[in-house]
Amino acid sequence: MTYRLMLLIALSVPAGAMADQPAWPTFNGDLAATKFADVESFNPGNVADLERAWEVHTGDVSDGSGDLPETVWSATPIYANGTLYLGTPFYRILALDPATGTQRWAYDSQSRLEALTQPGLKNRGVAYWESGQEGVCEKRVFIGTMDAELHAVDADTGLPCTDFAEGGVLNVNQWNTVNARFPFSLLQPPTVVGDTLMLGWAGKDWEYAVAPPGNLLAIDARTGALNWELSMIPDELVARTGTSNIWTSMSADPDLGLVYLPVSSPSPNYWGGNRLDPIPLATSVTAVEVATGNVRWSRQLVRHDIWDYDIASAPTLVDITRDGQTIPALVQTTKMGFIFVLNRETGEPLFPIEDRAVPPSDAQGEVAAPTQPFAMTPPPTNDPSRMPDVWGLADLVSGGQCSRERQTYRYEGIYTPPSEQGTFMYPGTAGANNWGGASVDPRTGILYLNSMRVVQVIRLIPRDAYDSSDTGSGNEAGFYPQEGAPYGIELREWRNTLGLPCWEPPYGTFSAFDLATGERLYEVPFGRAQQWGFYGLARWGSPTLGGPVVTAGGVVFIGASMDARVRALDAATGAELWSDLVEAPSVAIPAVFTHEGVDYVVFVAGGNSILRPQVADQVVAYRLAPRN
Amino acid sequence: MIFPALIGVGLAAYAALSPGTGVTGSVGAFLALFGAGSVLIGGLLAALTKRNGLAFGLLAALILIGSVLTALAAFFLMQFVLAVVMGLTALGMLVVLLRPARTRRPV
Repeated sequence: MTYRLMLLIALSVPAGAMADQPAWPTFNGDLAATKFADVESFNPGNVADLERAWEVHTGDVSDGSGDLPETVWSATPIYANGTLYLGTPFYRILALDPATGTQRWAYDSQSRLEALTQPGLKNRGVAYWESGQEGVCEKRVFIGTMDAELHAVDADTGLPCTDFAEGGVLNVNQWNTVNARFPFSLLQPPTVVGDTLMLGWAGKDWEYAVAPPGNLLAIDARTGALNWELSMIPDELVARTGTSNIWTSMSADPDLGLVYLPVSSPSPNYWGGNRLDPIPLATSVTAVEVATGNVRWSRQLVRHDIWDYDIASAPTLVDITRDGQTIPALVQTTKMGFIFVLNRETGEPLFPIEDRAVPPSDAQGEVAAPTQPFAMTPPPTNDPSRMPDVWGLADLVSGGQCSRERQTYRYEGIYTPPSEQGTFMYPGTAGANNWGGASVDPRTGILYLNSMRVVQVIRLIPRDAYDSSDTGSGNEAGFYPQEGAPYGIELREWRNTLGLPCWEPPYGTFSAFDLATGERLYEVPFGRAQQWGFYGLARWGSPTLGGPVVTAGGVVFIGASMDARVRALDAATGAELWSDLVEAPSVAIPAVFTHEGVDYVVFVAGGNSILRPQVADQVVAYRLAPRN
Repeated sequence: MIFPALIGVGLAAYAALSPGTGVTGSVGAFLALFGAGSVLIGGLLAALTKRNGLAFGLLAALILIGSVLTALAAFFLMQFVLAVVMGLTALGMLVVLLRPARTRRPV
């Protein structure tokens, strides 16, 4: 590991946590979003000996059948201050003993349990901050809520930090002043950079053409005061569009004083006739000065995004050695499957990015961008020019339905615009890679990444037809109104009438890339698909959602599979070494840390309807079985 | 043949109803339970039926098909013990079919 990177990681970890290294004090393990655990004990030779140290059920779960909406729980546990902190989809914080799972304290935000902006109650965890001083609330845990509150509590006691905003609760919606059609939902914990909380939000992505403009709020971790705000939409366009928000985690380089933002697409998601003017920060990775909020550089990764290809994960920061020179790099994985490798000081590409012509739109009022950036090195996880072939088995059992539909819908490569005739989206809207992002071993510069191969069909439905149909009310599965646009949409997976995917497997893969050369080292099917209880073959893989963690011992830990198993893979080959069945797909990034001399890997099994309709409230900690 | 089918019913019920099997409550698991149960009932009926009659032949064929399909379902449910047990059931049925029928000597 280079000195520079060691310094970066050291700066990223709060001082108290350093006493009990390796810790897991942030969503991605560190501010560089490496998801690298400097833990040697887990290695390919012994990981099969993993055993459950403990498991906990939080009780905060709903399958949506009762009064409460369904829960969607993707919280990465935070290990800091000798404690494991968890956010729940009922917006509670739990502090657990990492060795036993025993609850030390719990804090209930008393948030309204209503799906105000999302189909379900969502939470991706908590954030941790400490000042380095001793005293009450000098160490804090933060949790956001669906209704736009940010709560700060003392990390030792769980009591509110009354010097933060109003009695420990910050009303973030006070800054929701333009097109306030929904609250700023705080589902992703803030990214803590020094004493500043970097805060984005989530909204109703597919509902409205005009929506709150995306912004980044820099909040004082001690007082809750707004240090600065950066808007993602030019002022002259806010009356016509919105979003381009930051709904996922961010990364930061305290050494450079920069925070890196993965910025989502503008509204509405699948038609852009209202926003033909340039929106340079939309669907971009953007570097912003922590101290001032000034944009240092920005690179738009999709021009005029009409596919909902949000930049969905924190860019991974790693130093690459090339010709004996160390280059500070940033790796941005994407929903499109492209892996953009940039110089994180300047934003300049470290591998060529080609501008390629892409198809025009035939939708009313729409003008698709004539070209898009293609990053072909490292090779994309999903072929941008060719969607998977029709799967013979699905075609056969459906009497040729899949083949007929293949001829019916439009497809001319990844950036084929949505159309009234119907367009294949590949990758689908959940993307090749989503919020889990990649992990990287900073010692070797090897990147590890799971990806999803799902084909969807999107159809633009003219406004009159949409509004007069039974599906016009807005929240039925697969139908979204895009109010204010000339089209509503229908979006569905490309399946035959029996429910089988019409496209050839694999449905998900796991890959490794050498960032120095851009070479793909391997790509293997990952996980197991499952339908009606039946498992697919190993070579079919599974759609994946969630991210990997790589350890110094050469093991990758990952949930992310449809079959509700958590796995350990050999980092050298991608081969599965160990797995365990949990109660729902584990779509959260696991946490790997050392507590009182024992190494643990902790998975949260909460489920996500993108993979399958199964929810749980399970937290499971594993450690190596003691050797006699 | 009846004994392995009985074990199959127990295993399929466990897979379908017990938490933490990976297929709990799934359509596939209940299908396997239905399959194993049908084979068991078929086996009991076959035991009460004359071996050289048409009814026995029909039952035997259904038991054989049911066992093989249930074993296949169990394989894709990753319930490998159930798959083996139903395979043994099918094998047992085959043995019964191939073995010459015992005839009672006239006194």
